[in-house]
Amino acid sequence: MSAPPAPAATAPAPPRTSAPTTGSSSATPPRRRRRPLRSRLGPYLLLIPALVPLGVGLGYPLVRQFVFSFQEYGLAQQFGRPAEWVGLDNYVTLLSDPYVWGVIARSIAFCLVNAALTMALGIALAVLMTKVGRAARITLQVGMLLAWGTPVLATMTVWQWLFDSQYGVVNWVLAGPLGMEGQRGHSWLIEPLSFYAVATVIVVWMSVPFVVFTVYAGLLQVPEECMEAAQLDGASSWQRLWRLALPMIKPVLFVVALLQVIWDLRVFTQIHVLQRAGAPTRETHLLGTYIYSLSKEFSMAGAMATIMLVITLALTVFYIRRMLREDEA
Amino acid sequence: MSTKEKTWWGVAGVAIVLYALFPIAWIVSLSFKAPSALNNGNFLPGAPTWENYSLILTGGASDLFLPALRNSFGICLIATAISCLLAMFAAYAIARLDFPGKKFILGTALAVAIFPVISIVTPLFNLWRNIGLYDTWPGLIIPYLSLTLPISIWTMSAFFREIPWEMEQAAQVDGATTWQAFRKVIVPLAAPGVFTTAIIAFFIAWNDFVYGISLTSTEQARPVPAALGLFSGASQFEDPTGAIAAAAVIVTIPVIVLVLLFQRRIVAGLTNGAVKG
Repeated sequence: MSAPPAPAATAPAPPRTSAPTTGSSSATPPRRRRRPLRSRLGPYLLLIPALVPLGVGLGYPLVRQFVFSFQEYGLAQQFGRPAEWVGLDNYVTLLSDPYVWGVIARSIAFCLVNAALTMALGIALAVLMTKVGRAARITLQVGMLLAWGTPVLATMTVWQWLFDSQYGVVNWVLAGPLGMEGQRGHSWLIEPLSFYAVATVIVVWMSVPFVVFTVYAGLLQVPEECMEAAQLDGASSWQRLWRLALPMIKPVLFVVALLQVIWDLRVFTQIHVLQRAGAPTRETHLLGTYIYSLSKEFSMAGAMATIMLVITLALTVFYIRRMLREDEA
Repeated sequence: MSTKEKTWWGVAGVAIVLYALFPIAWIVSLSFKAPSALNNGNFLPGAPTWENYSLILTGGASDLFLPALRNSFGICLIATAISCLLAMFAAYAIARLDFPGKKFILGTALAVAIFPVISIVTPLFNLWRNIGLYDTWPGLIIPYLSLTLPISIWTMSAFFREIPWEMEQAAQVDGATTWQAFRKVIVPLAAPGVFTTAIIAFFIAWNDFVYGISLTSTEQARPVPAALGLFSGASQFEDPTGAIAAAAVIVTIPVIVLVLLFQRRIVAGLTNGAVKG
């Protein structure tokens, strides 16, 4: 990511440093190059208000959850029994259970397939946005913003309805106009594989817009002259896209792909609602819903959440390191 | 581009708009169908009826829906306002001032996006039970802040970096204090960025489901998405689909209004962090 030209912010001290008025400045050690305490503390004072809710709403639960994972903590402890330290027992219990490995494998597969599909579709649509006229582009934008912004729960009602086994439109279309009689009354949610297929359709539908907007904004920043030069040299529009435009916006693609992987790994709402619509829960759990199902056993949920965090980091560390390296370059 | 090529792009565009809007259009249609007509497989309701809307707004389901609507609006608006205010301070510090640990803080803001919300719900539930925040407005506002603050700080500092800062220095040379320069010069310049961030933060809070179902238990604080989930389990209606669809339409209206009014700003805000950050 090319940082904008370093703002004047990096210039040393604001003019008023020269006024040795505040009493605090006398307390400043001389090696601190005559910046009064107030101006050195200023940035942190501005940050603290934001850090407080983050600490309470995010920091504390994270630490607590991590501590839980090394304790024996269930409903009994909830009602006052002291929690016992059990070391890595919870992790051992979880990781020696083949079912847990199944959940992990499914989640990773689901996440990678969804992220890949989302990226492919998103890039294709972003390219499309650069090709159409202004009116068409705004229409596309509004349509996609609506898909992005509509509350997940609201759209889930429809998706459930579309894939309903008895009255669902999908079965109706497949059985009626397309003549696939076998599809009448077919349940999409009972089989894990088709359950995930349905979930993929929904998740991709909701996540594509963000990719489109970001990639489109990136494509707009590719200098026009480069594209023209390539065209004069005889590059086809396909080559211009693959060899020129996409490599130039690689940093943007990286960020978006990274976020997609993170988001798709922790998918919860869609899976949870589909499960409630009549899927076998145990066979269709992904990490998010599995942790949720453990939530009465605090220590297990904590351990599982920590495992999930490690998986997320493992999946994304490659991206993050690469991003940081490009940032420095 | 040849005419033929143009036509193809146009067709593709129409297909995509349909694909994006189809589910939303379908909810609207469902919400106007009478329970008996729900299953007739037609897209358009043959005999449109307000039955579902009156059920959730004045009828049997209004006890569940109306308080939820009030909670959703109240909690999301307060959370958005606080989040923007706090993010404004933080983003100002990040974009404008130089201090040790800046990179670390921006990095943390991104890292926070990694943590799966679902994993911290349980300890939060516990804590809220102990200190009496469970099933209250502040009990949802604080988690919503932690959800919206990182992205707000990220987006806003991207906006703030593009403000012509010489104006602020000019004000300071003219004798304004840092605070005055911030309030009188920078705030008006920064308003568009703040506004955009506010819309995105509102969307995030408005769409939340996990906290909604985990940290509330009564209509005292339960937001609409969590209440929508309860409709299906309730037995007081024959088939809740129509009522759910009507409720879904109502929660989608603010989103549609905001999108139609501010689509360019929202897109700018969404892409600013990733493209320019």
